[in-house]
Amino acid sequence: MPNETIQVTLKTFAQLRELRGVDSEELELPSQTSVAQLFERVFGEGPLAKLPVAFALNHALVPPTTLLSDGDTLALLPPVGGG
Amino acid sequence: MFELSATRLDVKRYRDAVEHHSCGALMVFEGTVRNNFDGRPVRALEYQAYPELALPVMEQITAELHRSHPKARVAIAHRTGTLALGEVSMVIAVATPHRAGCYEASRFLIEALKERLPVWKKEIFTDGDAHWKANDPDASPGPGSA
Repeated sequence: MPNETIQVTLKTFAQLRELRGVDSEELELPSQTSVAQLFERVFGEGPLAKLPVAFALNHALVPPTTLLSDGDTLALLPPVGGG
Repeated sequence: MFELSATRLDVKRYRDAVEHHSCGALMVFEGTVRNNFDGRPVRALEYQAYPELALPVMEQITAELHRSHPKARVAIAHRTGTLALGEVSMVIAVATPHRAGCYEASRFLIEALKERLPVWKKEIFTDGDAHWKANDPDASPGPGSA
């Protein structure tokens, strides 16, 4: 199924959100896309390409190599600043 | 009690939530908006949160505390939105049977939350400039440092 695509909801925060201009968006991606590849695809050419982000898939932290599935929600988390 | 709030935090609510006759010590930590960052005048802070993960992270960190302090009673709240100078950005209320555990628990919670809570802070300076500021992972001062 090499030509299959998946629909993913992307949530962003802080400087990533300001760059996108929206807090959430729907993306169509090739299947077998990893969470790190999604970041690269969306932000890889821009000013935040080197930002060390963490990944939350369906609201749980996951490693960068985790593969996306159709219907997933991926959140990209810049370094946190609470307190 | 774990909360994110877009409006002013009622500190007493969190204090009262942890108070219990089994506990002889109770501490409330308040994070507040400071008027400068490294001497540069700050006008306000803006906080953004990821609620679907922030509340579970508060629960997880409390569960980790309970491994060493099983009787600790904990309430955590963090603000979102734009905060003026002096406003309370975060409340950590903790009650324990004895004072030593209370200091330890409060310190453990603030350091873990600073490192892991998915909340972001924008510093808005008086000159109109603004930037998103991450917590410094190495800025966990031990006793004796300011």
